[in-house]
Amino acid sequence: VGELKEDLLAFVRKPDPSRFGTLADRVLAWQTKRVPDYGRLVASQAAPAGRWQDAPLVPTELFRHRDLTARAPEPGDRIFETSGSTAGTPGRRRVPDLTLYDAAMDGPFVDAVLGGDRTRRPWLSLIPTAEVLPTSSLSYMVSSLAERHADPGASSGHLHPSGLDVAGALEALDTLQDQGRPGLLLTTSFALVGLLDAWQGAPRSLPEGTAMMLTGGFKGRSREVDARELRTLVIHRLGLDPALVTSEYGMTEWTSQAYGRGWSAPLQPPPWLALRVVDPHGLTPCAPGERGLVAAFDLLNLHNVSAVLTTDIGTMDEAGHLRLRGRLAQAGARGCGLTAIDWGLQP
Amino acid sequence: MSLFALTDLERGPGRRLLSITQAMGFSEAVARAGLKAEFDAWMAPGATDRVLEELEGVPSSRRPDTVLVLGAATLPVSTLRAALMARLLGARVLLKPATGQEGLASILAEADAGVVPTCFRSSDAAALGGAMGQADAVVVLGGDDTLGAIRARLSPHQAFVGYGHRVSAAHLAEPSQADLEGLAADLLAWDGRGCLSPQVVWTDGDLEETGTALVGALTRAEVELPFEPSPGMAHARYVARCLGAIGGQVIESETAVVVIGDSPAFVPSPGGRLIHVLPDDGAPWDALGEGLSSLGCSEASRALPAHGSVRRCALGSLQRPPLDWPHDGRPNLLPMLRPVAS
Repeated sequence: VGELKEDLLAFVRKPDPSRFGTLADRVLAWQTKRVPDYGRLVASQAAPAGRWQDAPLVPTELFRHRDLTARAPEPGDRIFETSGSTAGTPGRRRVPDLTLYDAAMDGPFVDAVLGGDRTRRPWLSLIPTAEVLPTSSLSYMVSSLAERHADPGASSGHLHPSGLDVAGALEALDTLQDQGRPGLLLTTSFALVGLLDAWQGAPRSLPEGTAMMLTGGFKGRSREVDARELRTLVIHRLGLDPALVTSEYGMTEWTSQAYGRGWSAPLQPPPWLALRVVDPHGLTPCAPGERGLVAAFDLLNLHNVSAVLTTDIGTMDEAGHLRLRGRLAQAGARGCGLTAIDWGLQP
Repeated sequence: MSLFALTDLERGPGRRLLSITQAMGFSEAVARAGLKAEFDAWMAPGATDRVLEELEGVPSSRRPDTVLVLGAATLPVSTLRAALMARLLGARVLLKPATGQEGLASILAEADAGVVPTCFRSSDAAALGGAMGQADAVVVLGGDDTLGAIRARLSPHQAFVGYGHRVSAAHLAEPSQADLEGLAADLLAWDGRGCLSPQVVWTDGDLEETGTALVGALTRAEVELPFEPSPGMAHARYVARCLGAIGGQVIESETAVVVIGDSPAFVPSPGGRLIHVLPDDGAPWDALGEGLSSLGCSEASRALPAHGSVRRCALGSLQRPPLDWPHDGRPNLLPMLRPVAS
């Protein structure tokens, strides 16, 4: 695995799209051999999968039932769990080695969310820290990125196990407004609506250049706010420029994240994450614009499985950019936004 | 009670019942077969008389004037049977079907003036309270949470009948061709949705041979009963298929999936004509307790469920319970009577 991992790290440092297929085929072969459950799934196929495009897709639900990991458990393994409290047993992904995770999260985030500007700035987060919620991959990512890019003296988090700290969040917004420095808000959609609903005071006008990273949906568990209303709220209550609002799309079962910079912008995956939209019946690729389930081949999921089938419905445009269109009916609600629900953010 | 208008699936309310059943995602052939099976149960000689025998010796004053039936989003015949049982008792029926199945209430009302469509959003507590306030008895089909919530709102003077979620299964011992064909029919009926669809078949025979023979029977039967799963069902089947491939073996017909496992422990099926073939290590069905609704058995099977509420029946009749079947182990009419004051 050492050589393959090094090659993947080299790809992250200097992506060459023409090498994706070769690397993906190697990753598939390695996982087929080393992840026992995945090997059995591959063996059950009518035709053996040699090419990554033919790899059997692992539905995210399988992470609720099986340990899809290439190595026997060891004490240092990181465990990430979905917050799927409405779906019963949470999905669970054991990550024996975070090197790839740590290496890959930075570049796409800086480009999409920070617009390439690595200057440390004040962060206001409605996402729990990794210390508070160690099983959340989103919390791990945000906490890791905060260490690299947040101004530690001017940053704060306001979602705690006791619930949303509305007063603290408003105070932080005021401070940000008064200081006049562009900051960064990080939040799930649900937590943001929770804050806006709880706070009925005067609108804020955040400093020019302040950006927002928005992730997760409403999971069918909250007051749902459509994109247009949320955009209006963000503009009028926070004074944010919608062009600086970036959607983040990631999940417990992936190592990589896709981003869409600008309100409602399509999602663009990094070079090491191939996204497809497939027909739920035959799992064949959908034509551009046609709705289907989002499937991924995440090169960096080395120690788990790379070919993952989600229950998110999406469409892919000709350029390979993804738009999310909702979730598959009857699929259990799950995702990071549920953390906010669990912690007392009931609508 | 006027059932005849419904049984004619070619015209009038019967035709509309067929259409609304198809709109629930069933092919015409599956919808026809399922509805016909239910009507056959009602029209069988002496069927209603046998049910009414429950009332012998019961004073007429205990009969409810009004029964509220709260349907679930499962099979139309479940709601239909609950409503018609209340009509058999002579009660006016306030029928609140599941969201999306409102048409079912108006069709029944068209066929029988004693049925009153009572449609409101499930989240409308005031409307629910209003409907409950008119009822002497409330019949609820749904999950345990729903049953508990409704029951808690009733007064001691109101009867409560709750039908929760249960599962069904089958047992094969030295199966004949007729047994396999019966099991195939049970699985294909209503596309494997509902409490009476077999989710698991236990066998003391060779698992792979049994699975292969079952797929053969399914292949012959499914020609007449097409099935196009919804995207959600297709996905749920794919998940179960992957789990099956990891833990055992998967064999498929054109529309059905047979998953062979090596542990006798019950494995839930998502429906959609997916069944698990598991080894019989000695009455594994008893682990389900009263959660098991019905056990279809081959002719040579000696399976005898320990729990008294479980229906033991021949293969091929799992989805065709007789009218006097004690649903969930209870009489059909007596639970709807006005409670006796203590």
